Amino acid sequence: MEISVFRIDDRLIHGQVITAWIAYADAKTIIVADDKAAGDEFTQSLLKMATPDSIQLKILKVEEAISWIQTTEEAGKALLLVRSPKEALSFIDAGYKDHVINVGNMNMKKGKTKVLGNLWVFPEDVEMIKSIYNKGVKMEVRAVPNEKSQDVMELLKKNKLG
Amino acid sequence: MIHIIITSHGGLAEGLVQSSNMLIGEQGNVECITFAPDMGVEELDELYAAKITGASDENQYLILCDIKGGTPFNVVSRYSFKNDNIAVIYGVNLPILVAALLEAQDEGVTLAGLTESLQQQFNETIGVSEI
Repeated sequence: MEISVFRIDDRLIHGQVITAWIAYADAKTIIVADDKAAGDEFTQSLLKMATPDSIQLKILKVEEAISWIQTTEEAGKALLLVRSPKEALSFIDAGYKDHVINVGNMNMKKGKTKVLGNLWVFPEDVEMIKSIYNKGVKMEVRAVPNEKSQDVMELLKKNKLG
Repeated sequence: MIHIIITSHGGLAEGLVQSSNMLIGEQGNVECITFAPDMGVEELDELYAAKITGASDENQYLILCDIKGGTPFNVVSRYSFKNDNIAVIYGVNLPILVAALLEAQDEGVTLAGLTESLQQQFNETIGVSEI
């Protein structure tokens, strides 16, 4: 299975993903790799409801998702969604280094620093992002496909966080 | 009593209420919660938590959302999950809002009865004109 879009979005599946990214990714499958969602009945019902009928949805723990992608015999493209840079790093450590990781939403929470309206970071996010770049993988902020792409590390540096 | 809350991306919720005021006059049983650009999920959830309080058989909530799978729907659905006194409808439009506002004031109406009645009206509220 080919991962055509690898996205960090703390809202997982929502309006931007349904209306724009599924088509852009030409995805037949959405993989939500998230330990919390995989163990939460409410989040699972919500994600199922948000997913169009024509799209296959897989909600798996991060480690399960990595092994499922590696072993599945299903063809077609998939959109991979994770909640934060921490989960993205697990995929990179498992060898997924060919993507520019799309950052859609890392939203405001208490204790975070604002970089952009849709990019707020905890100190630990900054460390994870540095580790991702150190492994040779880049990240871009782009909420919807037709928006201008902005490099995450450059944004962090501009804000004296990098 | 059935409280009605409309929630949307941007100003649709308030716009719908303004439009319904033109059709049926101002009704007291409706409130809007707007999900604004740059607003975080936590902040939006705080707005819901402040309005959706003490749901019980005598104090029920009907929440009208703009789009299935959007953030307002996703966040507010946590309230209706396994709670029969809170219901969520997505894809709200003006005729459904008007019907909801009026029928919610009927004597002896229950949330289950109201949502069932509205559901029967969905198909009539959007279509291609035959004219």
